[in-house]
Amino acid sequence: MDKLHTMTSPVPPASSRQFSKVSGIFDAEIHASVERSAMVARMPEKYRSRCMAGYHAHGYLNFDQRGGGYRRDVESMEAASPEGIRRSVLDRYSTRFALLTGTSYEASIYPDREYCNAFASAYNGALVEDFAEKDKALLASIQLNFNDPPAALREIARWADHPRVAAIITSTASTETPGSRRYDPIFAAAAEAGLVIAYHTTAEGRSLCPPPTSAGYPSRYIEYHSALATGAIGHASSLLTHGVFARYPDLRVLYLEGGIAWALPLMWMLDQDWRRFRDEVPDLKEPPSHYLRHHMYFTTQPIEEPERGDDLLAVYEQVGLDRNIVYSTDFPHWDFDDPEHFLPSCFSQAQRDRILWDNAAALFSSKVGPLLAKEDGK
Amino acid sequence: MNDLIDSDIHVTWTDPKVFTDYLPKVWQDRFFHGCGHSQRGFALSQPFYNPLAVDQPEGCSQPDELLGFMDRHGIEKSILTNWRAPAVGNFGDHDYPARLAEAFNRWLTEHWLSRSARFFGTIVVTPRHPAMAAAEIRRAAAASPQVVQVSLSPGTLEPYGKPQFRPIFEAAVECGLSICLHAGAEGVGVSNPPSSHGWPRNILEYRVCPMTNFIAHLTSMMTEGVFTDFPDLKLAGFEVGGALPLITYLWRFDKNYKALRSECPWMRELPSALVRKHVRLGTQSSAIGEESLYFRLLESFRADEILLWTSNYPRWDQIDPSTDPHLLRGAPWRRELVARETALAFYPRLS
Repeated sequence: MDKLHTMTSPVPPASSRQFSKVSGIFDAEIHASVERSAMVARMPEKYRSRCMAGYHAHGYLNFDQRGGGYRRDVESMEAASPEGIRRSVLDRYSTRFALLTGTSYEASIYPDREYCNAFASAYNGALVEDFAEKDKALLASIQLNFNDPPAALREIARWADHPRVAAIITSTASTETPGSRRYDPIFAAAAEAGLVIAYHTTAEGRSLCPPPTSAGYPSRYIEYHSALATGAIGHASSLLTHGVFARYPDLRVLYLEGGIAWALPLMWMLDQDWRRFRDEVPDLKEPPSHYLRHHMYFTTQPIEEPERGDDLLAVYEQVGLDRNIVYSTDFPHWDFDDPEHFLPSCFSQAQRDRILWDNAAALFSSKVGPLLAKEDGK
Repeated sequence: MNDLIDSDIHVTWTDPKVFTDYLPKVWQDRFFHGCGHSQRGFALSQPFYNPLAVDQPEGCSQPDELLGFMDRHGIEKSILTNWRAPAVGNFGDHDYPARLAEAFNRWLTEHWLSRSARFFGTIVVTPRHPAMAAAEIRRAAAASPQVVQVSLSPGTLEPYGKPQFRPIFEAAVECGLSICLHAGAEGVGVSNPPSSHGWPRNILEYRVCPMTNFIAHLTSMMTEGVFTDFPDLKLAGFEVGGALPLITYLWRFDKNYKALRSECPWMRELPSALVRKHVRLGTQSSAIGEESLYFRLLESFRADEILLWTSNYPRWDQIDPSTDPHLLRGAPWRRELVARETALAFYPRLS
């Protein structure tokens, strides 16, 4: 055990722990704990009892981090209010903006369509009104039921002009390959509204979805959580090869907690096959790597840890250190990444700033720009 | 100089009647005519049309032809497999595919392995009936010292770390055979969808699945303690994208192991350490987007110790050793490892 302990990254010395506070930090994922009662209050009468009973938690596979998914050093209620989030994250790290991802991204994988629609609407109301509107740093991601595109479009229309709604969130797990044309109306509306679609891993295998990997159901959390990277790989391969970004050039997507390093071998693999099989994917006018570099964004947490830190840097540079890689804490979950420690020491200050602020600020510029201007009294 | 070892060469037959002698009469009708009008022999529908494979052979059918290929390219020894045979693991029933596996293994031994001491064989078994699979491993390994490996279908209902598969690993270790997963049967026949988000809809998307499937089986085998129970077990992956996807995956898996290993206290080493000891990957399916970065990332992992050189001859995407970057670049010791030494250490029956 002692030997293993020494393999973990040591805390860097104080001198290397300085990071620029000029730009600040954009945290692309904080899990606000939306209370069930806050959703119930926003639901039609007929759905209240089932929401209170936790219907939306059905289909779980009973895998979780031992001791719970939350950081042990954080009071469990800190993520349940905007004040707690400000106290534990925003003030502590001088975070200027944070995208709230809430407690659920599964409105598209449960069986009852109408309930899923009501669930998404109630959840969005609670997240936007109880959190995002209560703190100048907070932005919200809204849920949609991807399996009911007309209802999803109504929900987009409801929030499209809200200054603090910056993204749509759903799971990488899906009942239908995510690049399918079935979702085109949603892609079109998201692109038009300037809403980033954020795809979150960890619903793999739940409810109506296929098993978490093609090998079958895993046995425990370490197996499940590690192999979530494969869910993100498959998901990205679908969006890239189905021509979603060729059809919707303004669409941008963000992968949450799916990892990043796999994107390099995936790009190489898909580009090679694109040259071989172009007739099979007529929608693709450019090699898949082109669409990845222009449309796909990735959060760093949980950051991958190669033996050599400069290998991570080399991979990030190929995937898009200048555009595609954004920082996230995943607060208040157990595998939180601290902005002062998460990157290997070989990353320059300029590269850190790119990841901590610039890339996310550019990605969400349509919301962040006006909010910053307002803050400055312009 | 014939110094190469080619760990993935595909062989086949021209006339399926070669199997008549190996199959019991009760199954011959199913083999030659299929169920109704389709699904003859080993065939389970491949889900995607591959325009590049249409006019290409699925395997070499003449031993002399293969020896000629090996001589032309400096290949001393080759490990023979068949593209379709692992799908015996994807049938819904047990007896027919088990007898089919035995028939294939007998054919491979008698028509190929007995023809040249330079040929070695990868047999197939039916993982869904582990007892029958283990018995077939013992039979085939005893029948020929040139049998070196057992191919398990990658297309499964449960990952290979689950306890019911242990008899297969026990038999393989006992006989000194490696296990391999060769891409091709993911989502075929009776097996899970090939990805976690539903069925792929084009061949590019589908061809990513073998890589993620292999990673899933490997993660299962490690966390379930297969390599703890069988310290001599060896696992190879062919046409699963080479070493780079696995290396980048280990950047996450190693980290998770440090945080979550209390769930699997029997797993005593980092995943990357287990890979170094137990896992080898064929080179042929590696996508090398940018050579310098590719080799730099592989060198950080000392991947020459985990790569088996493969040509995939004579399939549509075969690699010519005279132009394969894995053999051209770097110091002589490095080429030597990938070209033969890693394979010799991995397959004790080769020496």
